[in-house]
Amino acid sequence: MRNARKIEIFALVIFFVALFLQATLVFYSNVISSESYESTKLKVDIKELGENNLSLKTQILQYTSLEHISSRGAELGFVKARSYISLFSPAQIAINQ
Amino acid sequence: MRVRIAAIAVILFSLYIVVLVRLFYWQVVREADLRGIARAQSSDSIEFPARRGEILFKDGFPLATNKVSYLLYANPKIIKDTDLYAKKLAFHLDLSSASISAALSKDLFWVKLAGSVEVEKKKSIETLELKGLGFSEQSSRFYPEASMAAQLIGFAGFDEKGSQKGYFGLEGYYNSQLSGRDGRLFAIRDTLGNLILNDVREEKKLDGRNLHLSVDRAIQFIAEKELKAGIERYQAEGGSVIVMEPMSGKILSMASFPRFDPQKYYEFDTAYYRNPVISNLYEPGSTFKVLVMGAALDSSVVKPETKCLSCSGPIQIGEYKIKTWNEKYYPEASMTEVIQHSDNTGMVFVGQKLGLKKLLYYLSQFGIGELTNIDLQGEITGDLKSASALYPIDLATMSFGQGISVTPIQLITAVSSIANGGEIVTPYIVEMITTSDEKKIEIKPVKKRRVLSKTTSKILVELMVNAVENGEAKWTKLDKYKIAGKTGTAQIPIAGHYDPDQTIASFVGFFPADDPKVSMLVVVDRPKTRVYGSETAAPIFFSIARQVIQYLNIPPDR
Repeated sequence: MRNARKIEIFALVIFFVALFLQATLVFYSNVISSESYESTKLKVDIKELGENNLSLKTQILQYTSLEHISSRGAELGFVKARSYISLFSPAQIAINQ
Repeated sequence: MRVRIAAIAVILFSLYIVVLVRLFYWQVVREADLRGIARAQSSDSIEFPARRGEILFKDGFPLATNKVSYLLYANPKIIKDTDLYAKKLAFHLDLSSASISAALSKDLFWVKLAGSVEVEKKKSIETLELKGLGFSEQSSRFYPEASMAAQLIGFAGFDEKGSQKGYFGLEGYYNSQLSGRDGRLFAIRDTLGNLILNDVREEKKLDGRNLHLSVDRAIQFIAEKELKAGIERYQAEGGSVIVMEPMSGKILSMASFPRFDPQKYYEFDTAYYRNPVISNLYEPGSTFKVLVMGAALDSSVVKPETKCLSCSGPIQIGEYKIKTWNEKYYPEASMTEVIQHSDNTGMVFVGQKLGLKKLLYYLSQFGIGELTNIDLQGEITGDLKSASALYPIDLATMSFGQGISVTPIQLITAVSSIANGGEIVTPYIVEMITTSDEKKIEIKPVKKRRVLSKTTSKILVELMVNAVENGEAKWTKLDKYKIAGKTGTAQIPIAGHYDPDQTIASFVGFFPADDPKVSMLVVVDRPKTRVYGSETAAPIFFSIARQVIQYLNIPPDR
C-alpha cells in the first residue's frame, strides 16, 4: 500500500515537472520566434534605411553641386556681387551686419 | 573435378582482370574529363562585385561616385496576364508596354526588364505587388556635377562581357585602379544542392581606389561659366580653357565646349568624347611667339633692346610675302616692341637670327612634338619635322606660330616654363590615390628638364607683361595686377591654303607676373562676331582671372 502511494506521488511529481518543462518550452519557443520575427523585421528596416540613406546621399550630392546651386540661385534672383573686400592683413574694424 | 574448379577459377580471375582494367580506364585514363564534369556539376561560385573607386575634386566633393540602382527581372513562366503587367510597368519604367510585353512573352525563367532602376522607382513598383518580379542590386556611376569637366572625366560604360569599364579621360586612364577586383566564393554543393561550408575557397573582394584631383571645383565652375558665355557671345564653334599651377604642373581646371553628359554618354556623338585640350592639334599663331623669342634670348642671338632690321615692310621669302596682322610696320622695333605689337616680320627676323636647327632644338626642349604624359587617356601630339625636311618659308612661319601644330596642353606646359623660371614640368591631374584600406599614395610633381635660364625667363616675363600693358588686349587687363600674357589669332589651314575668314583665337598668360600662382590658356574655336584673340579669348581670360584672383585671395601687386 505504502509503495503504491509512493509510486503515485512520484508519478504526479514527474507529471507536474514534465508539465512545467513543457510550459517553459512553449514560453521560450514563443519568445525566440517573436524575437526572431522582430529580428527579421529589424533587418528589413535596416535594409530599407540603408537604401534611403544612399538615396539621400545621392540627393545631397545633387543639391550641393555647384551646377544646381547656380541655377537655383539664378531662379531665386541672386546676382553676382559687383565689388568685394579682401583683407590681406589684420585690420581693427568691426562689421555691423 | 579439379579441372572444373580450375576452369571456374580462371573465369573468375579473368572477370576480376576485366573489372581492374575498366577501373583503370575510368580512374586513370579518363580522370581529367571526369574531374571536370564532377566539378561542373558540384562546384559553384558566387561573385561579389567590387565597388568602383570615386573621383574627387580637391575639396573632396565627388566628380564621379556610385549610387545603388536595381536590375528589374521577371519570371515569364509564372506571369499570366502579360498585358496588364506591361501596362503597369511601362508607366513606372518609362518604357513602351510593347517592349515589356515582348520580354514577358519569352519562354524563359528569367528575363531582364530594366536596368539602373532608381530606389524610388523600385519602391513604387514594389507597391504594385506584382508576382514574378524581382530586383537585383547594382551599382551605377553617378556624376553629381552633371556635365562639368565631362571630357576630363570620360565616362564609365560597359565592355563586351557586361563589366563596368572606363573610357576616355580619367575613367579610361585610371580604369584598372578604379575597377578594383571582384570577390569570389568557390564552394562545393552536395547532391541536394546545399553548400559544403568547410570546403570553401575565397578570393577576397578589392574595392577600387579613389582618385583625388588637383582640380578645384570653384575654378572649374568659373572657367566653364565664362567659357560658355564667351562662346555664345562670339558665336564660336567651341573653346577650351586650361588653368594650371606653373610651378608644380597641377591642373586646376580643364574645360571644353561643346561637352557631353557622362551620365548619358550614349545619347551623344562619339566626337564629343574627345578632349580638345589633349586630342586636338591647332596652329597656335602669335601665342607661339613667346617660345621663339625665349629661345632667341636664351641663345643670346637677340636682347630685348635688339633692333629689328627687317621690320619696315613685308618680308619676301621665295614666292611668299610675310605681312603683319594689321599691315602696320614698325621700323627698327625692339624685341620688346615686336612682342607688344605681335609683329610677324619682327618674329621672322628673330627666327632667322636663331636659325632652323636652334629653333627646332628649343622647340623640342619646350616639349613641342612630344607627349606631355598628362594622366588622361587620348593624348596626341603633332610632329616636329627635322631640319632637312623644312624650307626657309617654314622657318619664317614657325617663328610666328603658323605651319606648326600643337595641342593646347603642350602650349600651356611650355608657357608655364616661362612662369616658373625655365623648367618644363609634367602636367597632371591626380595628386593622390587612396586605396580601399585607406592607404594614401601621393603623386609628386615631375620636373622634366630646364629649357630656359632663370635670367631669360625673367626677361621674357617682362616682355609678356609689357604685351598685356601696351598691346592689343590692354583694354581688358586688370588694373591692380601685373599679368603676363600674349594674344594669338591663328588662321586655319584648309586643303593646302589658309581659310581667310575663320580663325582660332587664343590668349595665354600667368599671374601674378612676379610670383606666378596660375597659368592659363584660353582657346576660342572659329568665333564669328569678332575674330581676333584680343577681342575674344583675352576678355574671357581676364574675366576668369579676375574671379580666380578673388577666390584664391591673391593680393594686388600694384
